[in-house]
Amino acid sequence: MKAVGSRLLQLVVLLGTISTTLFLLLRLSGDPAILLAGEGAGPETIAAIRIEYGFDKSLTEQYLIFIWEIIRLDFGRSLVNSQPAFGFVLQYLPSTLHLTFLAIFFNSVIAIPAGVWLGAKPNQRRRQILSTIVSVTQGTPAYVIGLVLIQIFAVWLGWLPSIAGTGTWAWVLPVATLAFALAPNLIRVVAASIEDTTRQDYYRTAKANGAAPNILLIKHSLPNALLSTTSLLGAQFAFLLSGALITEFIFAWPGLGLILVQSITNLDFPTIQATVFVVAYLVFFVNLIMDQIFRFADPRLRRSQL
Amino acid sequence: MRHKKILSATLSIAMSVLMIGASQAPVSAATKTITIAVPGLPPSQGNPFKEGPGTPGIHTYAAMFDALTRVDNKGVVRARLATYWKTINSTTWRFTLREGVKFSNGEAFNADAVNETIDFLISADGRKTVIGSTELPDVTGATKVSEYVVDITTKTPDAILPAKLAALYIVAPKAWKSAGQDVFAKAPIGTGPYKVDSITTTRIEMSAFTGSWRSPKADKLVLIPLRDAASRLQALQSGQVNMAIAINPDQINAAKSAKATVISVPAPQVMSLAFNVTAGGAVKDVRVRQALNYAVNKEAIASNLLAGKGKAATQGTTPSVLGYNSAVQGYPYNPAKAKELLAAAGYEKGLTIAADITVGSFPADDLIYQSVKADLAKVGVTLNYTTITFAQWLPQYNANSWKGEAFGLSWNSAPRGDASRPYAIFVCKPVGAFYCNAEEDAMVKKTALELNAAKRLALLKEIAVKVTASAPALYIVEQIDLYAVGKGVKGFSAANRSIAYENIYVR
Repeated sequence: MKAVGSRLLQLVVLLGTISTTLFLLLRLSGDPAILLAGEGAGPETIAAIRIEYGFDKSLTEQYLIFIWEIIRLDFGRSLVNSQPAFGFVLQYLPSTLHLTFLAIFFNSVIAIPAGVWLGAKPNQRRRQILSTIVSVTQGTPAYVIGLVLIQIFAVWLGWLPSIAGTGTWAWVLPVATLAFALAPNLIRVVAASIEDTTRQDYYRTAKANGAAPNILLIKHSLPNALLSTTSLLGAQFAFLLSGALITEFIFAWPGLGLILVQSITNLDFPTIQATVFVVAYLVFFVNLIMDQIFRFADPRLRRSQL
Repeated sequence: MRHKKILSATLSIAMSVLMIGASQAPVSAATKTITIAVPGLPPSQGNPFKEGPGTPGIHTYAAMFDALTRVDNKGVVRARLATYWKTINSTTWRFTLREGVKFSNGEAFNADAVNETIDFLISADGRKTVIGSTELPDVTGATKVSEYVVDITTKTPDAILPAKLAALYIVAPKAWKSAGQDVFAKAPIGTGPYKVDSITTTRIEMSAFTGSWRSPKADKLVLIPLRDAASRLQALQSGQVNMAIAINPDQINAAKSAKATVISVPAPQVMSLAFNVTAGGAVKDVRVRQALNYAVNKEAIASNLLAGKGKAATQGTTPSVLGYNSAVQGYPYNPAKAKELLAAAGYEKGLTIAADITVGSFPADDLIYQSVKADLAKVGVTLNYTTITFAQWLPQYNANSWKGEAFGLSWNSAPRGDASRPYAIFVCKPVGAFYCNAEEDAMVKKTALELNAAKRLALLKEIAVKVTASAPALYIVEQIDLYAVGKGVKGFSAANRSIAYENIYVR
């Protein structure tokens, strides 16, 4: 209970810091009234727009209004499409969650077995070949992976669509792009963790007591290796929630990343603020869940809370 | 051994998922649906007044709305919802409207519809829109003369009001009034060939409006924004879209190998680096500005970076624009003359120029700026440019608060196709003037008031001579728009970026 209270306090501090930083950064980035008025607009037009959207008020006044609106989860209306910004952003959340969960799932399905295989006997020649492939892939940007996958599966083979919303299977290529982009990192972490456990006393004791290789791997190496893996998966999950920007661009995937970039381009303050807040909430809760998983999985953490 | 089995099983499951997807993927659209990949959709969705008259709005609005007029690729004003127009007095134009036209919700198009649109345009809300504030700020009202005749008045005489009205889309009056701007934006009603089924930020789906006076040949039209040019091309190559708008010159061969036809349409725009003359510095000297123009090999840029489809710019307008002067030869590549002029201006040891530019608006614009920089370096001029966003560019442009001597600027004559539009930028504005030449200013003002077409054209051509000689900008290239039209697509044409959607169909 104490831990939950502490976390909630952290959430309040986090959101307060984000909101203040966001408010100041956005006000420093330019005058949205000018952008709304367009090229060559006269001062009267710009002034009228400024009054309409409240940009004529003092910075303090704007800040207080902003904070009050945030408390009520009212981020105002989008400056370009006039829809309530919070609702507008929430429309795109399922899309991002869809992409995120599938990408994490396939990333885990590919990377964890591959990492285990690689870490169990790292000096075997064929495993070294995989290790080299993983290193090369890790340096390949998601943009290139996406374009290569589209070229192979959409253009050459004609098997899969590459544009979001064009069919039941439109998710496959964006998910594959993200999974392939994230997997190398996870493979390396799993492999390194597995390899590390083989040097631990408990592992060597078990081995000396004659435990079978499979038992050693499954009972002694894997549970410990998965702790660091869980930590990375949590970070990757949070990263995807903030919008897999490049992937969303290439596949026209209607997610938070795409909305965020569009709103930044148009200096659409309400939408930027609503998007950042939705992402901040999600990342916070993902971290909260990861904490609980750690606590459950690692007896040392459970003891430290006693 | 067991690990091997686990790995093998995992890979099999992953491949199976991909294969199942493969067998059911809807790779191509139905034959009577035209699907087009566009670089973007208008952020203000179906509200045609909040967007400027260029991209991305024009790719969308040309399908659902009509203006009173349109301007063709030769700068000639053609009939659209108005069939005839004439001046009544120096500040009033009378428009005769097309009869029998319906909006997609069944409302009749007539003088009341024009009045309703103009009434909004001149209202306080209308003046806050881009069309009301920057495209048609001088329109003061509309008066119904009869069911199909309407008078439109302006503050001062306006010789090219019919051309300017090509930027004003007429909305269904009852729908506009009852829905209000915001709701209308989600369900726009116009007289164009397609009516909107749904609008999101990632797709616009439209159905044929068979009752349109521009009745379409296809059943459905889908616009999909793919911001990345490579993605647009791949979508075309894979048959997921029928057309890709704005591909890059270096993608022409790839598009052709997918059996697409690449159509190059000259854009009424000249890419340039405008000089901040009023701020002083080296560019205040006309010899420096001329030298910079001579120093850049524009022919090579057009040939190499625009795949030979673009042309070197000789002046601030293009041949398709009314007022273009073919007698003006501009500044052919002559680095020796550039050095000579720089020396005469006291810069024989060279100089450094700072500029702010935006990229991504035109084909190969980033490469073009690099090429300009390299050419200028050959005559001892160091061009230090900074790439900024449009959101950063606009306030500096409006207030002329540039820190450097130059900035990227497109001489845009669209959609009115008239040279007066870009020339009006290079005048002694009370706020934000970056160039001011009293003589040229007087000529531009005189042109605005001249209602005699022949006299006005002569004036515009005279301005072309004067302004080009003054070199207020480094004219680089006449821009192009590249459309990749997929196999089987027929009837494509575009003028001033406005696509004639009604004629397009898939065989």
